[in-house]
Amino acid sequence: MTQTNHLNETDAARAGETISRLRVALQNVLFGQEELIDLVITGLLARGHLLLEGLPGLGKTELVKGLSKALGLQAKRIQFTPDLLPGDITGNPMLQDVDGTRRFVFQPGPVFANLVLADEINRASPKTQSALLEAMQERRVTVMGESHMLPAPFFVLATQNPIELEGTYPLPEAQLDRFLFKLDVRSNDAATLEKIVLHREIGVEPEVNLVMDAATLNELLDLTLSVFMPQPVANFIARLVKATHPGEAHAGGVKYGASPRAALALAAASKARALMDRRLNASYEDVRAVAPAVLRHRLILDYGAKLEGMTTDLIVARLIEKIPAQDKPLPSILSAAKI
Amino acid sequence: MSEENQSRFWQSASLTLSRRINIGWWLERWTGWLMATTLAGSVALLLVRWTWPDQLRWVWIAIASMLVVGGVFAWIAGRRRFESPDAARVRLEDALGLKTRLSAAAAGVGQWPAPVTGKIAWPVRWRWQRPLAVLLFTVAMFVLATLVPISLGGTSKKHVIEKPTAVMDVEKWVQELRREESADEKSLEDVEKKIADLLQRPSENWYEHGSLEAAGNLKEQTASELRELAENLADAERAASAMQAMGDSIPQAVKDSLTKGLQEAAQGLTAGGMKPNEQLLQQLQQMHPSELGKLSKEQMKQLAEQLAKNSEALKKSLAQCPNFDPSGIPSEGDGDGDGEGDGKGKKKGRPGKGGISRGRGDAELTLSNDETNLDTKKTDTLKSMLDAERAAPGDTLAVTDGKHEVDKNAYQGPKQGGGINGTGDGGTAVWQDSLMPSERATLKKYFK
Repeated sequence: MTQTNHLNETDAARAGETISRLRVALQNVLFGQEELIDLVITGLLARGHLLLEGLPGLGKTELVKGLSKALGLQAKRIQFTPDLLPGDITGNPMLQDVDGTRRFVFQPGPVFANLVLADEINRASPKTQSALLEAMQERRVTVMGESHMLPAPFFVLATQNPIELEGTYPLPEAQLDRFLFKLDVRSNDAATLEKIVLHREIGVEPEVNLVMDAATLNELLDLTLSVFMPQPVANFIARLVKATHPGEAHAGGVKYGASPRAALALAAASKARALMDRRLNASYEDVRAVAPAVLRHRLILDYGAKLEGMTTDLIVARLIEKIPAQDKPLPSILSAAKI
Repeated sequence: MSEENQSRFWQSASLTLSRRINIGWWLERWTGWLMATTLAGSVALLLVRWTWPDQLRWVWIAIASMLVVGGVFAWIAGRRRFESPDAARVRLEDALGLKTRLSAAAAGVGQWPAPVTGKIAWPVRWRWQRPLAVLLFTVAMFVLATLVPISLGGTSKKHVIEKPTAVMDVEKWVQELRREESADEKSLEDVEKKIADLLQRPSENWYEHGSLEAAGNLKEQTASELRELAENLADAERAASAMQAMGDSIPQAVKDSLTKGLQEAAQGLTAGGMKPNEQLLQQLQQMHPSELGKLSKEQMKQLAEQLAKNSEALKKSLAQCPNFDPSGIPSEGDGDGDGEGDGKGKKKGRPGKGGISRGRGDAELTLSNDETNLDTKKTDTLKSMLDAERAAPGDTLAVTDGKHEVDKNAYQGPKQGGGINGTGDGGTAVWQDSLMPSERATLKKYFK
């Protein structure tokens, strides 16, 4: 797609201001998780769905609820359990009297919201998990041959617990690929915990001010699309994704590499990050910053690498280090200087 | 700073960086060429210094040309790896952390960043070790190839090898004999042919053992033939002079004896390895040996004069011959004494031959390098009166007694140090030759 209207500095500044306010609002909800909050906002601006992985009680659900309040969006929560059925998510046709006739009327499920929190998504059966596939990719739901559009904007924020894996169903690769980011929610340090103790009470939800409405968010999403993607950055993204494939020089231990959707995700996330930084163009730094969140759930390691303790994060870190912005070689009498 | 100036600054920086990288590529190619040129040029310098030292400047011109041509080739070969200013800009903006603003500005999105104050931290750094090492190697090789001492080449070297002394001596003898016309030209040509055969071998082999031995043999053989010629001439001249001096009053017995002596000498002169000069040789060949006693007084006088003249010329030329051993040539007072028994000559060299009226004289015993020659070798004519002029191939003209010259000191293969030199029969005290004095004393003491 050729971009004709590029972002201008005024819009970039205005968007940056709005995003800063959203960031501050979320930082008041979740203490000590600035990086996570930035990545969540980045994912939102890139129109992506997010998969949050972390231990219970780290504030994943709180973050999503705070986000819905700050954005003024309709948010719904689905607690995934093994007996959950697809219809419980998408909605079911119900037999009703309408104008004197009995016919099936579609009753929308909880997926019909701007912000859907799919809590512990890996506890539902694959059949139920797959009910989200169409919603996440096409942003619509088809029941009994009838498609129902989801509201815009539409985001899925799923959580999963890395422990207590008995009775869970790991997400299939196709579904994982539909998540823009997989974010690790890490434990807080002592100072953050102290702050939580001082400012929070059990059972009392924090107050969150409304930062923007859905229209403003949609405008921000459009501005994100107009961020300029320079050709060298696109080339860098392409080489980075290609380097994840087995057989490439630095992809040792990788069984399956990232898909072209990963390249698109990198580009969209880079643009979003540039907008957050009030810049008109994406940069190599943006790509490097979002690459771990974009690629970590898209790489599948072989057994040897797993046995050696290799993780996808290590692979991505190695790729970021080894793949230069400029891939043209230097003559042997010149060396790249670290500045 | 205006937008235009900012743009110019960063475009200039990108251009500078790309040039720097491209020079690196060119230099990398050229150093390989430089190495090859250095090696080839150094060898060429050494060869030219060895063969044509006055043509050295052409080698330097060729080396300089090679380097220039190499520079052009390096540029052509390295061009496909050259980096454009756009590609260099990517390095620059990434290294300087400019968030891709240069590429965006170049595409017309956003403004050019403010120029860097001070010196730009270039994202590439020179590694001079390798080009410097190549340069030092080049300089060292050329300095060595220019300054290392070297001798002049092969062609002039051949002239240094001189002919063996024996060959040079014989050549001078031939020269002297030809100048005095004291020997037959054909005999001299035969000697020269032998010398030419010897020198036909490569000059490097002239001083090998075999060549030196052959040269020594040639010298010895030539000397021996000259001595024999001088001896025969002296004998013939003496007999002819006596016959001519006595005239008709000579008793028949003496005449027969002198005739026989003259016949023997004449036979030796015509059949010897070195023959007298052509005139005398022709005269002797025209006479049949049996007719020598019947010559008229006038003819005998003429023959005696010829013999004396040739003998004199030979003596004169032999005196001029370097390293010629005149021992054995009868001197003026040899033999021909007036009584029986010892000749009363000067006893120079070998003893004279005994005659019918005199003894042979006593052998001079001296402490010289040569063993005493008792004149046991002699040349006898055959009993049959063979006509030398009509001799067929295979006919025996003369029989010479003598012994082979065996080099007693010749190498006879390796010998073990301290080994037993001789194998004695039972009871032979061989050990006496091989034991050390102390060991011998010990053995003696044991058997006492």
